Amino acid sequence: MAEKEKSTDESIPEAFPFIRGKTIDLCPGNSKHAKLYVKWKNDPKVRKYSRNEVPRTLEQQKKRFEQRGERFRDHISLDIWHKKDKKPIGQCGLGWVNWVGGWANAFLFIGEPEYWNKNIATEATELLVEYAFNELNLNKLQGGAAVENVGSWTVAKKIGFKLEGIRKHSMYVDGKFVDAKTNCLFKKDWVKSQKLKNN
Amino acid sequence: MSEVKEDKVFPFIEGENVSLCPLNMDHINLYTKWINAPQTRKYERNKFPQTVEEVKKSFESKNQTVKESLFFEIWHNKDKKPIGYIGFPHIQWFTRSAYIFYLVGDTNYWGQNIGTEAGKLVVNYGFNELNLHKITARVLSPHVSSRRVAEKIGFKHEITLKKEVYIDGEHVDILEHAIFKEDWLKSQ
Repeated sequence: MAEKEKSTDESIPEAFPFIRGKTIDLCPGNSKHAKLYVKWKNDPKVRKYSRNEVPRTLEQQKKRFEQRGERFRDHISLDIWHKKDKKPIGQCGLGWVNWVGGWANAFLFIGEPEYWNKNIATEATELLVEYAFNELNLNKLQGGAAVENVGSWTVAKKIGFKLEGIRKHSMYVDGKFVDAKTNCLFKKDWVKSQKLKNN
Repeated sequence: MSEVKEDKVFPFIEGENVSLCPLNMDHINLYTKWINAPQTRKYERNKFPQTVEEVKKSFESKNQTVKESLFFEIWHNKDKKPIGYIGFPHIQWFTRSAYIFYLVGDTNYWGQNIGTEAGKLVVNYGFNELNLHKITARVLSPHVSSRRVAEKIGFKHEITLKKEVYIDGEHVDILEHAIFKEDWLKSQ
């Protein structure tokens, strides 16, 4: 039976696209991929700037799929699903969603290093931003990254995030304190930029 | 074709092209796919991604003795597969009123009158078996096809809620259409 479920049959999907992109789709998490998530979260290369300083067990990861289902939430996580290669390669989402203030913290990581530097983070962030503003009607998004994590804030900059400030010694990476940039994007500025793009 | 075990299909209400069956947790992946799919969730206001476990829970938790919500799988008689679901997401037993929800999740079956046929079956069930007094359909104003289904079943426009929900970057109206038992019985 387990073999059959892996068939390419459209009606027994492996992924449930929630937002469709070009090379990737954003999908809800899937407990079938719990092992993969654990691998990413423990991988030294991947977790370096993600503040995953304590190891994550498979049991902890599986638990995350049990106690859920609340109607409203302040944390939204999506898998980045590679359409051609038919597998999840990372995650992105919105954390600390403040529904009164209308803002959230955007996060993203590509768990499979072979997919780094392929513009995938940019595409995923674009989809995430559109979702946050056009579907959830948020007003402001924030994104933080270590100053030396050039890859991360280059993506933010491409999409229109502006530097809000630098927090001194806000992270501890590989034996030393590092500063982190906080970038932000307001809905009104994003809407304007989208209009320019479409004209 | 997916392997659907026929001995696990239990038609509860039989129609010409579709039957209404109890939800089948063997098909939970399909339900999850429909609930998340951009094309089908757009006007259903499913704004959060939902995992298989969450979808399961949302259907299971409503398994009370007195049901406040009630859903059927829409089963295609000829093609022998589930293509959507339909039901009453919120029943108020004191006033005997309910909201109706319908979704043809398999987009291959759009434009084939399936929503109307299944809708008529469930409305008839609501009035003749559950003895409901009034059924209301809430439709977003840009969702023309859903409105057509409501009208074809016999729902009449009752109220427009101005700019009530936020869809694709703008606020849009909700139209509430209602049908009363006496009018339904007369039309039959």
